[in-house]
Amino acid sequence: MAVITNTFTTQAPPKGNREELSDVVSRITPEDTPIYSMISKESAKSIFPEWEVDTLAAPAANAQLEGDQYTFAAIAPVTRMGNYTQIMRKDWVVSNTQEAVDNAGDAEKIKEVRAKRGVEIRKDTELAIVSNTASVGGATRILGGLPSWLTTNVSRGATGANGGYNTGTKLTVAATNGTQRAFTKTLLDATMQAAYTAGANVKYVVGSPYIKSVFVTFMSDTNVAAFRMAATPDGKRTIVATADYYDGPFGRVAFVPNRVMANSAGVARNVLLLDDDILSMKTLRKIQDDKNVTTNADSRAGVIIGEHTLKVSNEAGLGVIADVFGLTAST
Amino acid sequence: MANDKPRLAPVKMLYAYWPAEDERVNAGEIIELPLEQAKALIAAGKAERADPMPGEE
Repeated sequence: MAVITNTFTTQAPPKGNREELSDVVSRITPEDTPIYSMISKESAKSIFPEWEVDTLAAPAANAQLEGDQYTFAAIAPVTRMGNYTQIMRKDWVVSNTQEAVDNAGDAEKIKEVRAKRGVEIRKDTELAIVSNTASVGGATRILGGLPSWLTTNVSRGATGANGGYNTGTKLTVAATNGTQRAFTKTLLDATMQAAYTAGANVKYVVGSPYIKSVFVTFMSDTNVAAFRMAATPDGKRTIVATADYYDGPFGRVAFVPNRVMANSAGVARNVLLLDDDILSMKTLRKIQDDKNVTTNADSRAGVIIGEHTLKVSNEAGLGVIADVFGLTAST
Repeated sequence: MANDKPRLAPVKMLYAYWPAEDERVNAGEIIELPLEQAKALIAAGKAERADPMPGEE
């Protein structure tokens, strides 16, 4: 094969060929934030919203002497708990020339950049919720992430230790990681039993996508009812290898895969047992544009900013199976 | 001859601890742990020394 000498090809290169650039910009980065989306939103009035947690006395034998004189037991005060608000911010600056030029798909225009930053700040919030992060007061406040609150209905690997809320410091303490192990139905059942005994009504099991892939294998357990699907008359068959709910000995829970929990092995190692009635986001400043941002330059800048915290009304209503392999069979 | 037995130190747990999977030791309980493990937990603020004071033994 040969090309005739002086054939003018696209490799010359020609000066006048038009470039082709699609106006459709592909972005498959997931935008879902399951926990942040499922829990209620409340307003906050301070940088350290507090709430009270009360408990009932354990059941005890109760038989009294006839004609007995009354005695009066001391009333245990409620426990005050709180979480510091965290300021979250996303920003951008775009030159006025860049904003004026014809941009394929407009992906690098202010409107689109602003929309992306809005999604990103929600994902940052979700990450803060699922991270085992101790709360911090002061100027750069950090909200205590959900794993740092959980102490009652907890399963940990060897050498793991609880964190929890310290009423003395008014801060949460991060849990200490233990030796990782595989996520199993036994672990789920045992932690759900602990939660049920403590009075919790777990509705959701939230874990990384890998944890979901392990969860669906529970259907192969000998103690699980066989999963059958009627064949359709058109002769088409489906391999069914998924499940979204688990009807366990202690209630029915929905499994919610959380892509933000695949962010790192540090967050993927926890499987959270949640009741959305017990969690809420308390908002001191709504996530919104700061209208007063100016650049004093030939450009336009923007800032999305908000300040909020996670309210864990009663950690005993929740649970965690910690120290599991959350990204792969060995990580 | 080297002594293969790990040295154990008594610590009082300030937070619940799992010396082994599914083996919960609640906050307030005293357990004996290998020295390095005990030191790590004390350094992390999760436990405090529970060995006798001089003259207590």
